[in-house]
Amino acid sequence: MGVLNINDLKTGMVLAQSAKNKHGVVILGKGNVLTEKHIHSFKAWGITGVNIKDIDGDQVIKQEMEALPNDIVESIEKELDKLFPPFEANPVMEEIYKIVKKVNLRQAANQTNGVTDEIKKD
Amino acid sequence: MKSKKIDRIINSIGELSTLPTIYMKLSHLLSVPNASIKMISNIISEDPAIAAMVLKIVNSAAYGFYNKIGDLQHAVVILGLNEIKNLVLATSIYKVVKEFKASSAFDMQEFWKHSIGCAILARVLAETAYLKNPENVFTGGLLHDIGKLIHAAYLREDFNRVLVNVVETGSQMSESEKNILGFDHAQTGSALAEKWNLPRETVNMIAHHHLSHMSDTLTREIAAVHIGNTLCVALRMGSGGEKRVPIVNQKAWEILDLKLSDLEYVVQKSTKLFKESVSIMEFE
Repeated sequence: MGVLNINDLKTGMVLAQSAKNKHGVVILGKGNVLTEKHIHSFKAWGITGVNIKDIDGDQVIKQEMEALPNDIVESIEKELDKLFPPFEANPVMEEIYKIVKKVNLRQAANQTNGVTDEIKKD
Repeated sequence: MKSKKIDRIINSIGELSTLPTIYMKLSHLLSVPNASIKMISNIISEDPAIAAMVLKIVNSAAYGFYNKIGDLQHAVVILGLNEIKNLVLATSIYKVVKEFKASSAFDMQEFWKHSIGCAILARVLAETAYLKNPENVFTGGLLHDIGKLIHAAYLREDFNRVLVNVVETGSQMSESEKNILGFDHAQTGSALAEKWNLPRETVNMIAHHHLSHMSDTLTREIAAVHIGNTLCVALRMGSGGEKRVPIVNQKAWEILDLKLSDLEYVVQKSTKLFKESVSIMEFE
């Protein structure tokens, strides 16, 4: 199981833990299979992430890395290593690093897709 | 000794030493119990640039109104008084920044983007953590690096050395400033905010946003600006001249009482708002 961001949820995923709102009220119980409506109501309740069965939170980012050419991923990693000073045992910094990497990977993916779309148009 | 030097700088600066009158008038009016919407929109309309900006923002996609709002009074009602006050402050400072003659090594446009980015991230963090006054956190974020502006304009040569030092050593700018100038932009910025008579809370957000000293007072508002700044550098929304991401103080994260999964939501929401704000401000 692993925590997934609300925007990475897909219908058919199974909740590994009950989804609760800020006040601890259960919005959807453990074991439920997600539907479009559920995801929508999570957003309405301000839930930002839920725990999903049989999935690793890092899996999403791994998949996105595999979809990109190696040299692009490498240059992004190199740039981020320059930008981030060493941080040890700081979970917030680890999370920020992960998010920024994801943002950069997505931007790179959009750019490469954009380029291929343009080529297609020509 | 150090504080005397800062006082001297603050007292010697021209354009920046007083806040634009429109902001002062508005602050005063908002503290009066019987201020009417009409009185407030009258003050705003005294400055056509600010009035235009208010209308532009209320008609932006963020508010999503189907009909165009052309009436300032209507806009004031929709945005709310606190939002209006912050908007007027942001616009007035932007006007000052635009005409500022700073060291050419310091990119004003990037600086302003960094300020807006940090302000938005800090406000979204504050909203997500259910802080009482996210608008004040926005102001704190907007002004957190204002000290750099003073350094860039009034300590040009020394500040150029600071900028070079940051690039060469990879250290945080406040460290280089302390080594070269003897004080950092958080000290100068908060001194200026004090001179402007901004609320204590805002002065503290500017003074302590690095949270580099154990003795620094930590409030949830300061924590929001502190983390907003780190996110802003990490996401490279503009640049205040830093080359490396400042490390988040763990106590600041704890006091905000958020979940790690909230961060990605904060980033997504803020990125969207940032793009909109930058397009509204129209950098040339």
